[in-house]
Amino acid sequence: MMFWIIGIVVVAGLIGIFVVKGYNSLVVLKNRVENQAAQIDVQLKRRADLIPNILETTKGYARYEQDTLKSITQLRTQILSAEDITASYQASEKLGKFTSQIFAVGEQYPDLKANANFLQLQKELSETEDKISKARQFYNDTVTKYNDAIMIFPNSLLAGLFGFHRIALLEVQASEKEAIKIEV
Amino acid sequence: MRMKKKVFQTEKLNEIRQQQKRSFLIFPAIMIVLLIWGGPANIAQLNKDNFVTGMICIVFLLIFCSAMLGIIPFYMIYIRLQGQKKQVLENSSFITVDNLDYYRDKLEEVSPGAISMLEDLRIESDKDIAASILHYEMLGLIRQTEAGYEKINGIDLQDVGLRESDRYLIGHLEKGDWKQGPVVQAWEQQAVLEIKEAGWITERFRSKRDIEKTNRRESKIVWLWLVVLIVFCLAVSMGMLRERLRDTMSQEQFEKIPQAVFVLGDIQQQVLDGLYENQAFGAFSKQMLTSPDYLWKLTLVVVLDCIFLLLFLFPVLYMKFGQGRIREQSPYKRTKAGEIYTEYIFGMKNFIHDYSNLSEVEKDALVLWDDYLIYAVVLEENKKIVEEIMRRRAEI
Repeated sequence: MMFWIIGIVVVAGLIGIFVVKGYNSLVVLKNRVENQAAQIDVQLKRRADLIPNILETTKGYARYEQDTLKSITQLRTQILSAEDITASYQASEKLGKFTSQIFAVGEQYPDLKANANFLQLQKELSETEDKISKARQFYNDTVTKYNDAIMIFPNSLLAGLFGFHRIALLEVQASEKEAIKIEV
Repeated sequence: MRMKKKVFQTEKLNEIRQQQKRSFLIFPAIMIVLLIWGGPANIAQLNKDNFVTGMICIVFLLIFCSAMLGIIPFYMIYIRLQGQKKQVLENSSFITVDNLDYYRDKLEEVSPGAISMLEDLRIESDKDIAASILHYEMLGLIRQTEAGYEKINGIDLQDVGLRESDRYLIGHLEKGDWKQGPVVQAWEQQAVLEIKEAGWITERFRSKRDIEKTNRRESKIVWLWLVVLIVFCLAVSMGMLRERLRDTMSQEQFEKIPQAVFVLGDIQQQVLDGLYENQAFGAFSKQMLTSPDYLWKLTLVVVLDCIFLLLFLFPVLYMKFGQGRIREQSPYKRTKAGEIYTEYIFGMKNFIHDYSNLSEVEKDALVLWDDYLIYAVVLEENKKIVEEIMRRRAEI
């Protein structure tokens, strides 16, 4: 009888250790995903803040259509108020298309091209684009690690038990790859 | 910024941990030897009635004997490795910051060789040259061809702000002899010189005078230990030696010996006599209650015996905390500025380890990951690329 009691206690202890360790590792991975999402969010908001400044700088040289300005404002609002990183990222990608067009417009005006403020903003935006790209790569890698962890046995049992779900990767949508044309 | 203390796994640390795990194999090895040596004879003596009990006894006996025989060699190996591990761990503890660009900005001007040197105070040529090659490719200075590496036309290496070690390596990458011993050695020397000039490392002060001082100190420690041990042995055994001395010396000579010499030995002898006379627990308790002196004498003897045992363990402990560390010491040490950069380097390593799968990417991913891939290579997070570059070199 004593043998069985000791056996049950040992097995229960081992299961307990496995559950605690497994749960903690999943929590760590999920926190890393959230941390990386926050990193992207910082950069996306930075891009959203830079674009109106660029528009303001170029206004004296080029007049944009009302629809263009409205779209930019709407996208910026979407980024700043997005509840999850996917929505924020998708809106930011759309906004990014406008920036390249704004710079293309800038190319047509030699005075604007020589404007120190415009050049500085252009540089900052270019750096932010690079940071967004890298942050997306790190985010996707972190998400992949997390998704792998919750799908591999025996962690999959714990993931089901404690409600850890798959997280979608940040991908560039095919429709968003099309260039946006800004009318001036 | 979120900060936390972390210890990182360097290649050396992993190697030591593996060796420590392997040191446990001493016990099964001894067990196998004992089993081969005495197993068949013992098992043959068992009969049907006592087979199971006998087998259990043999197994327990095997475990016990292998533990007794193996504990000293195991401990000696284990603590030597523990000393080395302690030294490596000292170089691998750092504060981390989970921020994408924090470390990248800090390390922008630090070469792969310097990163490697600051990480563990040694240059590992294969890895560091592989990282440097990636660095030059990222900067668009060289490209890989079927025949090896060639410099991109029109680039003047003097203009792009490279270090002397970089120009030297690029020159030999072009020539194709960059893997030859003397070339690697010269590159290492130049890289170390530049890191010293940058003020990140300095030579560990080990002058002849310093070495002599260390030797003298070690010699003093050994002599002191021996003297203490001999004095202790004499002090605790003098009670037992009293009669022998009386027999061998003349009465006059014996009386010259101060009686204080025998005090500890006498107490030891009294306690031992008390234990011998009161073997039963009840009798022993009665002795304790009726002779209050016996209690403090017993305590004194237990303390003395513990110190006696520790004196025997002293060489082992000294080896653990002293020798193992000395053996692992690099001829260089970090300066204050070097330590600051080392924090950034370990932070970057931690970031790459926790937040990316850079350990699995191949060389082509340089376009995608830029300098992060170089950091992954130089910080031992990606070994595939080092192997790829070295294998390719061997094929050429």
